[in-house]
Amino acid sequence: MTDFHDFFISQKLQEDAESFGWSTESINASVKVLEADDWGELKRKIDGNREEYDILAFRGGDHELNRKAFSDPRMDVVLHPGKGRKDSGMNHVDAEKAKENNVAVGFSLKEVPESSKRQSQKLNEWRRNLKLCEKYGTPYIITTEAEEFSDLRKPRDLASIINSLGYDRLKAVKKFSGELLRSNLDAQKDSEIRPGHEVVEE
Amino acid sequence: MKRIPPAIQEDYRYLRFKVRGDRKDIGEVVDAVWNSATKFMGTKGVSKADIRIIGNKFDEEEQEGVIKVHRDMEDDLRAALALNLEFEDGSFLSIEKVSGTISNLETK
Repeated sequence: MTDFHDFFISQKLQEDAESFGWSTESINASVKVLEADDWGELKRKIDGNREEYDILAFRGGDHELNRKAFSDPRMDVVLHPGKGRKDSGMNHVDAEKAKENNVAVGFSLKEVPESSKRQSQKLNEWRRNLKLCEKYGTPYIITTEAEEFSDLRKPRDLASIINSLGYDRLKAVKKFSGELLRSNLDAQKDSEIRPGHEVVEE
Repeated sequence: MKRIPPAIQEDYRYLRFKVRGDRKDIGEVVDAVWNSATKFMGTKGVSKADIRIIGNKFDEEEQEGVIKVHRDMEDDLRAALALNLEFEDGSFLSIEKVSGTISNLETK
């Protein structure tokens, strides 16, 4: 089994994803991507889904909601915070909040447009967010959000995108995503009282 | 012309790729790789990467071939191929193995 995790690959691509080197654990993890127009709706959705799913993500875009999502420890990932915006969707305050609450910033290949001009702007946004993440120690992950076979990529290729932007390639596909999955699966154990505290039977 | 001493020759990486999707001929693969590399790295980046698709190593049956790229630019080429491969039918190239010599690519 490999240590490369992508939570947002469709389960119908499980066999192909495994042959590409993604871990079975992450593909089998139950994932819910939330969308909301206001904080009340998002809060209700977090309350309703947190216990049920291993990974809870929020599809960003609105800066106020991004801030709320980064400030909520029950949230795991904020996917493309800059979606539909002219800026990158997060600033140093968001990065600090995300670090405090262990919320990862998600970079998705789905949001990278075809046209050269828009693609260069999007990668520039990624670079800015990666800079903030590195400065404040915020976790970040990269995903393909693959629904078709043609969207699928190998872990090493995704890592190369992060590396070509000037940041650590293994953090995005292995370190942060592995830690996130492990801590969430551990939290579901009956023996875990609170994060980091576990009852061990002798 | 006298051969450049090995110590000051450029270092390359050889990437064995496989076409995932519909069958392609080598011309289509060459165009796709060059277009996506130029789009991602620009003319200057591609000139530094010194990309070559090795013609006699392309196997039309298996849809596998070898790309030669400058060692420092391997990640940029991988990123270019992951982000935009200019096949219209959604086919893409996946890198199966990387080595510093072509002969090592042939050992599984």
